[in-house]
Amino acid sequence: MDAFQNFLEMGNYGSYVWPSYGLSAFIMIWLVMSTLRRLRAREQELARRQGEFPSRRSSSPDTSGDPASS
Amino acid sequence: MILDYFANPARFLRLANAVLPWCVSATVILLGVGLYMALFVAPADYQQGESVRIMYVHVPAAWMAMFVYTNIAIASALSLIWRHPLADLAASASAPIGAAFTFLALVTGSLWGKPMWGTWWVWDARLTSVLILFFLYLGHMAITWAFDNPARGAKSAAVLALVGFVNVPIIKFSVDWWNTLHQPASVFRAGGPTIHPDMLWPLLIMGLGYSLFYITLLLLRIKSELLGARLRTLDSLRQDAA
Amino acid sequence: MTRKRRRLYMVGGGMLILATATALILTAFSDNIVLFCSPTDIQNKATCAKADIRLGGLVEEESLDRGADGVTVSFRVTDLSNSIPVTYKGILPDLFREGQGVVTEGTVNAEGVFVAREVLAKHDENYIPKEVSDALKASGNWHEETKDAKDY
Repeated sequence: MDAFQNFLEMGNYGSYVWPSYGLSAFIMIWLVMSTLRRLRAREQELARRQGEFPSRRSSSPDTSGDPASS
Repeated sequence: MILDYFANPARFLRLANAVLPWCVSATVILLGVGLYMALFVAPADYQQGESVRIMYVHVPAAWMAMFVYTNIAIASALSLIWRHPLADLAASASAPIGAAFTFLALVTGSLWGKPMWGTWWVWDARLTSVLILFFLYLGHMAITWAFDNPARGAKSAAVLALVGFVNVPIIKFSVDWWNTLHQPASVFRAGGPTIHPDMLWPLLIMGLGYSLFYITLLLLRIKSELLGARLRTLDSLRQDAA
Repeated sequence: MTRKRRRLYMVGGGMLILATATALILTAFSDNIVLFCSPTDIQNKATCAKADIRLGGLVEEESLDRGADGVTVSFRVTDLSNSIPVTYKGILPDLFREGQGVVTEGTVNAEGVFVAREVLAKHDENYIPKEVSDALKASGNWHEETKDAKDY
C-alpha cells in the first residue's frame, strides 16, 4: 500500500502529474468517440438510403466495390 | 504522382479500410507501452523529480500541435495550387485534432511550469507563439464552418493556414532567438538529444503513439467526410427529384 | 504561364511577403514586451533603468541569504561577467538553487539593487536520471557546469 501511496503522490507533484495524464486521456478518448459517433451515424444513414437512386450518373463514386467498413 | 492516384474517393476508401486495422493496433500498442514506461519504468529526473513524467504527455502533444499544423499547411497548398480534391477534407479533418493537442500542450505545460518554474504562465516567446497556434487552429475551424458552401470555406481556411504557417518555425526556434523562460530543445537539436536514453525511449514511443493516433483519427475523419459528401449528393438528388 | 503555376507563385510570394513582415514586426517588438536585461545590460544600457524589466542569469554561488523575517531573501544574479544584488519577498520556486538559471521581474532601485516582484527558476535542457546523478556525485564525477546528458 505504501508503494501505491508513493505512486499517487509522485514525489509531491501528484496534483500536477495526474491531472496532466487525466486530461490528456479524457481529450484523446473524447476525440475518438466523437469521430466514431459521426462516422457510424453516416454509415447507418447511407445504408438506410442505399436503394434511393438506383440509376445514378456514372460520375459519382461507385459504392458497390466497397469492402465492408472496418 | 502518387497523390493523383488517391484523388479518387473510392480508391482512398479502399486504402483507408485496408490500413485502418493496422493503424489502430499500432496506436494501441505504442500508447500502451509508452504509458507503462512513462509511469512505471522511466526514472525520476535529477532536478525535476517525478514531475518529469509530465514530459511524456506534454512533449508529444506539443510535437503533434506542430506536426498537424504542418500537414494542414501542406494540404492547403495542395488544395490551392494543385486543386487536389481530398486536400480540403484532410485539412478540415485535421484541425480539431491539432487544436486539441495544442490545448493539451498548453495545459500540461502549465501544470508542469507551476511546480518547476514557479508560475502557471509567462508571456515568453515559446508560450506566446504556441498560444497563437491555438488561435490559428480555432480560426481555421471557424472559417471552415462559417460558409454554407464547403468549398469556399475550405479555400479561405486554406489561405489562413498558409499565412499562419510562418508561426511554426517561430515556435521551434523561439527558445533560441529570444530570451525565454522555456528551456532550449532537448531532442531535435544539432549535437543530438540531451535526454538520457532511459527517458528518451519512453518519450519517442509516446511520440510515435501520438502520431499514429492522429493518423488513425485522420483516416476515420476523412472517410466520414467522404460519406457525408455522398449523403449530401443523395440529398440534392432527392431535391431534384421532388 | 499555366494557371497552376500562377497559383503556385501567388501562394509562394504571399508567404514570402508575410514571413518578411513578421520578421520585421517581431524584431521591432522583441524589446518592447517586457525588456529583458542581463546584469551586464543593467550596467551598460540606460533602457534597463526603467521600471518593470526582466532580469535573467545565474544565481551566484554562495550569494543566497534568507532574511531574518523568513520571507525576504537576497541573492546575486550573474551572467559570469557582471552581477547585481537582488532582493525578493516571497516563496522561491522548488528549482531555485545557487548556480542555476533564474528569471525575475522587477525594477532596479536607486541603490542599484534589483527589487524583484517575481522570481522564476529556469532549468536547462538536460534530463538525467536521479540514480545516475547520485552515483556520479558519489564518485566525484559530477560536473555541474558542464554536465551533459549525452555523456551519461
